[in-house]
Amino acid sequence: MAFAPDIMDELRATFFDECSEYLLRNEELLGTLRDGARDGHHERDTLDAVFRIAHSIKAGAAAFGLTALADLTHRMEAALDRLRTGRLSLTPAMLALLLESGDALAEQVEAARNGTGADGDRARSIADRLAEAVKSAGSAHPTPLPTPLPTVLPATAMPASFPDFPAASGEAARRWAILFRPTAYSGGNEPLLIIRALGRLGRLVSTLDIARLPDIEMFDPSEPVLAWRIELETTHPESDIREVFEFVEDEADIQIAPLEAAFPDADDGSAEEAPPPLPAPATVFSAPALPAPPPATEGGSVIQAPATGLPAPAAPGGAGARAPAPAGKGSIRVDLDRVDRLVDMVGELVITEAVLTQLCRELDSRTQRRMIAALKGLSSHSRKLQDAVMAIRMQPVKSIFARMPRMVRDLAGRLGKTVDLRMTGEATEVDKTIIEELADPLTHMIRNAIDHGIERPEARLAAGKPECGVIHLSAENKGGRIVIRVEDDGRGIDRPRVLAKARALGLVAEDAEPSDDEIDALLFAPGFSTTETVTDVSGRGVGMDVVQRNIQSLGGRVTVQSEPGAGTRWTMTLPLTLAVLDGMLVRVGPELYVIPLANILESTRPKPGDVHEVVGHGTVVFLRGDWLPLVRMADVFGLSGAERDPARGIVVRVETDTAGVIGLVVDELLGQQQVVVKPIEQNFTHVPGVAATTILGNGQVCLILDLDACVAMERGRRARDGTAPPGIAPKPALPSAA
Amino acid sequence: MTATAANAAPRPAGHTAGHLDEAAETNQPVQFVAFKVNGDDFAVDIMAVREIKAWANVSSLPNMPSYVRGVLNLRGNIVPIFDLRCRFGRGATEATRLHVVIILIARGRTIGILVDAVSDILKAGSADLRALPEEDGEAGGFIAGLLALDRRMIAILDPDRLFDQSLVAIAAQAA
Repeated sequence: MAFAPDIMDELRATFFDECSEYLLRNEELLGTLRDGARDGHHERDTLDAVFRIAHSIKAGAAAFGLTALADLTHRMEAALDRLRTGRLSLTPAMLALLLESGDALAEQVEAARNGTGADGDRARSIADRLAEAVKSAGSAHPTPLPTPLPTVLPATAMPASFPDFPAASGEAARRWAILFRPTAYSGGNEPLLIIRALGRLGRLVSTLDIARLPDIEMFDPSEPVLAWRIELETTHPESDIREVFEFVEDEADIQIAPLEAAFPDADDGSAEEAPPPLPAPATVFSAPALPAPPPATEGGSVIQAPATGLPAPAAPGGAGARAPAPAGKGSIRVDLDRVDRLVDMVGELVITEAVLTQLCRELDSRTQRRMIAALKGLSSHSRKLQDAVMAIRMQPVKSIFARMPRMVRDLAGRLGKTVDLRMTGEATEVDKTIIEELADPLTHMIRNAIDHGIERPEARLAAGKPECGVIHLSAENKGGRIVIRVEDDGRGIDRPRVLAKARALGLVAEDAEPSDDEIDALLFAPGFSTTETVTDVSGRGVGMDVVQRNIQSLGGRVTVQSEPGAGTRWTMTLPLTLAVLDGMLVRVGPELYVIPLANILESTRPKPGDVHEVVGHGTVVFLRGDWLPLVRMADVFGLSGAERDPARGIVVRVETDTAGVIGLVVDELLGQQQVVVKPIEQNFTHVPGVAATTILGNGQVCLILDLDACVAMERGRRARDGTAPPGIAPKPALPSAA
Repeated sequence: MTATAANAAPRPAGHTAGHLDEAAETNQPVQFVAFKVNGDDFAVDIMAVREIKAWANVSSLPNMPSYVRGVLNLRGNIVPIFDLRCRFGRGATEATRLHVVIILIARGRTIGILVDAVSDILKAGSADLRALPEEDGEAGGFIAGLLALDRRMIAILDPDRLFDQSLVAIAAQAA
């Protein structure tokens, strides 16, 4: 097709985007199939939907010359077709093969998207196994391969001749009268392709009905007026004929009826010479011309689109034809960069508004009053605009949750456990960037729950629990943050074992008697693992500390609660977006900084008597019966003119990732505010101790502190100066409960 | 803008040296923004210059070499400002409202240089360009060449190299 290269690129990109959606949906559908295999209903609908997915990807793949992808999907389609028509039964092995094909498909799509060569062996082996399955179905029921491989060709290049009649099978041929009247060409469907595909099913006579062709002055080229009356003699069942029309059923009137009465089976030879007495071509197709519709075995004579909620797939013949938008709510695909630019501009607007508010104070009182009223309106509008723009980036967590059932299934199977995964709150929305970062932590947590939490079936029965373990994955919005929980009803945290292990690893002093919460928090210690045997599932000890780090880098927290014998609950709380952050503005000497609110536990001004210089440990403050190590921000950043006495400044108790809880000494708290995060690396380079920047109401740039880095810098500084050994925390052995 | 600048416009930013080389080959005149630092004349390819603005207070960055003055809010972009005088080892500029920040594109990023004043827009052909006589110590690393005009010698600043060398120095200090 004579598309400009950039249009082709665009179409390619759209195709790959669609593939991702299809693959996700595929996974979901196969999961439904597996679960639904028990109750058995709607299996056909689901298989139909999977079939259409394979078909849609195949059509696109063929159009873009991705032969490996097209081949694999073709095999899938063939197998799925046997399955949905009941010629192949949906065994667990078959389902596993389908799931595997889905994975191979994802691989191929990814490879094609990146332009890298995929490992074709896996795809080939799966394609072979699918072909094998199809063949086995074929031998059980002597039906020839019915699945037409739609050829991707522009209409003009179409050969006029029909392919030969397929090899006759043992079954008796039947005759069918078919009326095919397209009602729209906008989907890019080519009637010739349909007729050609029908021709592959058997012997066919097609007559063009031009009865609705208007006078030339009335002619509207976009209005379909033609219809085809087709008489088909075939050994294939009606479902195969309907399948040919599957992708045009929304865009055409289709009537299919048997011609048995007119042409009994015995009348075998004469049929070749004598075409059936179809109504005269030029007459309007009327009811008596066709025999009565067939008994309502599969609904009425007009095929209804199954209500799967999936967009109608691309037409078989339309290479670049896009699937029509899904019915119901309309949606558009937008490049993420464009949304980001919008988010940026709204951020600017919020800042400008703050600047205006600031300037307003300098006005004389009469003008000021009117300005303030106007600014209030602006403020309310810009806040709403910000919410609306942020909402564009919000996505339901479903896209991540949907990957989990599969993993649970695989993992539970491998470990010989039975696990039921229940999910709630899939519709909870969170910023796209957070969604992307959620997948790994969530996978880790669920793996942990299956591997460490849920017991083997025997053990569960012995403990008086149902054989099947339950993992509950939930998401909810709470106070401007998203809370995600992974709850299992397993054995709970084995605290004596955790403690013993921690002592062996030197994480806890021999004589220390940590509380239950403190023991639970040890699970987040780097390198901690209680599993004796390292499996490929979990037990490398890189699990929970990595999870915690990932979550904290997103401004979130992870906590764990557990009850021995009853189960464990992991809770993640995350900000809804990374583009804005709730922070506390503080002053240190002449400089202003923002401390992320997520890190702050409390702030206090200690009594002079509670502040002590401990030789070798820097300054500590006695707070709530415990010694809190202090870090002076002025020291970290080498600032002069800042308050050095904690009793005259403010101690902000913050929780850090790597150094536990510390007290940050600043001069003054200036207030809490939501800030727009601006990376400093965009035009400069990483600055140690600085997480990002933001712009204050007066237009001034303000740094957002990276507390972990600040503590590390302070330790490094003291080590260099010889004022303290590295490791200022008096209790490095025991991270406090997260 | 003159025809020269317009012709060069489609080239991606951050290829000043290439631009100069090309100018030398084709003998097309190139335009420069001339500025003064500590009494000395400097110039930078006009294609690298995005805007010129009066000095305003910047927010300082912790533990940076003294020639990194801090960051500036340029319509929502966070832009680092380099003190050229300080970079040349002549001490920090006592910046006032009369001092000037030239916003440049260096390595595809937006940076600013603090200078005493912008003095001129110069047009120079390849005949006016001179190679550096020899490596010139402190400043030699990011001076692309010399411009001989009106019996003056003007050092041509290469923003890309200025940025690269500053980052190297910062990384070395952090390590």
